[in-house]
Amino acid sequence: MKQHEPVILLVEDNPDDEELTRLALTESNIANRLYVVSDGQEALDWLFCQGQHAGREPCHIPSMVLLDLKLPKLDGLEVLKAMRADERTKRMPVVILTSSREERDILEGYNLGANSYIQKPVDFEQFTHAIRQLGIYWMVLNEAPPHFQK
Amino acid sequence: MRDSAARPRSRLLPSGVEGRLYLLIALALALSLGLLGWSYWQRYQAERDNILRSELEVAKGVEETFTAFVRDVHRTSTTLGFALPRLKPGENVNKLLAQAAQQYASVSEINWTSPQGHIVASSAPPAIGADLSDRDYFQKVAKGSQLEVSELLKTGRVSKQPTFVVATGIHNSSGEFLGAIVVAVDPTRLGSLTLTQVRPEGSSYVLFDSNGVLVFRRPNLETSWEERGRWLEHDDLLVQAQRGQEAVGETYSISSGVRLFAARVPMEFGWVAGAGRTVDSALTPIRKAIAFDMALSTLLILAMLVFALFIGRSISLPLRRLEQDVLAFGQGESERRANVSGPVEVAEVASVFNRMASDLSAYQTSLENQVKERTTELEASNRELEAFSYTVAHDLRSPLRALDGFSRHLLRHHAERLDDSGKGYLNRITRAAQRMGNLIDDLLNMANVARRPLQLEAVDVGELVAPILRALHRSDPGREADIDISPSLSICADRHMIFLALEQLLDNAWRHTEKREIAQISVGMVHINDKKAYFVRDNGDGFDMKYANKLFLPFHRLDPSDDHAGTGMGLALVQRIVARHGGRIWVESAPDKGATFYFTLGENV
Repeated sequence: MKQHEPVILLVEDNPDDEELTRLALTESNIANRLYVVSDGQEALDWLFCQGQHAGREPCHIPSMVLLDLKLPKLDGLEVLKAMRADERTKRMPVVILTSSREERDILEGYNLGANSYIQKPVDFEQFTHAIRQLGIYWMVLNEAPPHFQK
Repeated sequence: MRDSAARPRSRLLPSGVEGRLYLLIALALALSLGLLGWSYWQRYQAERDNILRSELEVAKGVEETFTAFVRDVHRTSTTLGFALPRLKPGENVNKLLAQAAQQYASVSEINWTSPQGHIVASSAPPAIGADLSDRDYFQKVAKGSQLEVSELLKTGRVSKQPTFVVATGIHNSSGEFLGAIVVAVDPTRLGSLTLTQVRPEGSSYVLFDSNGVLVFRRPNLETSWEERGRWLEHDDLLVQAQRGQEAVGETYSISSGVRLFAARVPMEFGWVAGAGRTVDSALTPIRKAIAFDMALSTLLILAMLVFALFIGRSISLPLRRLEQDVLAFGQGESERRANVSGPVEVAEVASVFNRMASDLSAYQTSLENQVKERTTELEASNRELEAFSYTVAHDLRSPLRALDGFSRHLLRHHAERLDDSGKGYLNRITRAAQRMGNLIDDLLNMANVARRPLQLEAVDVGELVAPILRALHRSDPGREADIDISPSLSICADRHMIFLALEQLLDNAWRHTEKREIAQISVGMVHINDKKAYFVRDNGDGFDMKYANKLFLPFHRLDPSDDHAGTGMGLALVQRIVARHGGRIWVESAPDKGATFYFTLGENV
């Protein structure tokens, strides 16, 4: 199977946050391919190449999903639940990226199988730092599940 | 429980209503028994007096009858005395005397004596010649006495039976003693004619002579001579009568050996008449009457007692039921109502209690409903607050992030197109965004502290503050600080909250020691009034103690300049956390002398 270029899916409805994330990733030199979807349903459609993204070519799977929690239609936790229920995305690294510091969100996120939980700080420097850490960890250091190496 | 309320207790009275009722009944019973006994005693005494009075009457009757007998014999003797001195003693005189003797059933013989005391004629001729001159009565008659009655003689000169005599002295008109008529009387025959009254069973009448010797008794008893003489030893009444007084009372019968109600009446010649009745026979009727009465009274009293007990129970039972109902209600049986029965007062109390109980239940129900309502409202408002916090947390931060992020991006990547004042404004925007982010965090922490339940555990302070200290050092790496945490200091508190509190206190200390060459900050614990007081001490600017009370108000800052950029929320948050733990926070400080924040945690933590 052909090895794809690593791709990150960002699920974010706030254009400011989207742009900031993009800037942060750019500064960290890991924003090779960033796909952005703006609601939960679209995220699932994109991942499973269905609905509005049916026939997406190539229908490859991202190396990492950055998932906001507060989303239109389906919220982030529901998206995570659906991902973990599907064989194709069961082991995909998912980092919850949100401004919420609610404990129950954090707990629920981990319960549903989030790999990491990053609170978006107000301080852009810190945010950039966090994103960089994430990018390096998940894209470079972390050995992807066997599924992706096939 | 019987958290027995302080009841006044009397040593004399039983504590319960029932006991007191029974005491009342017992008292009434004792009183009526006492009255009954007294009336019986009165009846008994009256009966006794009656009997004694009637015995006295009988005794007087005996006295009169016997006196009349003696007088009659004396009269006959006197009549004979006119004739006899003129007649020659002989057969004719003897016949005359015998005719006279036949008038009296009890007279055994009539003798005519010479002045010297020799019997010259007699209704019983064998007696002629006997010498009576040694007899007391004869000597008295010879000296001039008209009439003498002898004591009982053990044996007569003729009859050989106990006998007494009635002697009459015969004198001529010049007073010369001509002789005596001596009438011998057989006392055993007295009763047949002379004393014939019929007496009830157990009664008797008696005659005693001047020596107190029993002369006669009816009904007759076989009595030996010695016994006849012993009456005086035992019969005080007899002694009294011999002294000339009438006497009544109880005495003791020598002959029958029983107790008697008796009367003794003194007579002429020193004799005593008496009547008596055995106590048993006298009292039998009244004893029977009293026994009957007592049986009847006992029955009546028993009936009354049963009735009284019934009434007592009709009072005490409703009271006890009421007590049980009230106690049961008091112990939480809120549906329990008192039984409205018994005496009106008790029933009234019961119905008043029931009204009160119903009111109380209604109150309770409405109170419970109110609490439920309030709880629901509170929960709703808590949920709203939570939703609000969530929104604040999520939505308010995003625009700030955009402000900060894009300002920084401009500063970093488009700096060449900005002049210095433009850069300055961008820096201001960044700082303002930072501060607002902190404010939001503090507000959320405040809300969290208020609504989160406490989860107490032992927390190691050194371990807890380590990341805080690292963050402080990282924020200002150039500063030299000497931070001293008491080793193995442990605190029992909610880990998350105490972390926030220490974070704020250390942050506060850190900021206020900024100007010191070497910042000195210490964390420890001292005992104040036997309570553990934890402290955070710094050698910073300090402040005037007159502002100390304003220190813990939200949004209040002692120093409005940006020197020590706090939000004004930190100490308010700490105070709220300490209060949540039931503790107290205070501060000691002076300008330029540093500050020490103390806090205690409550009893339960």
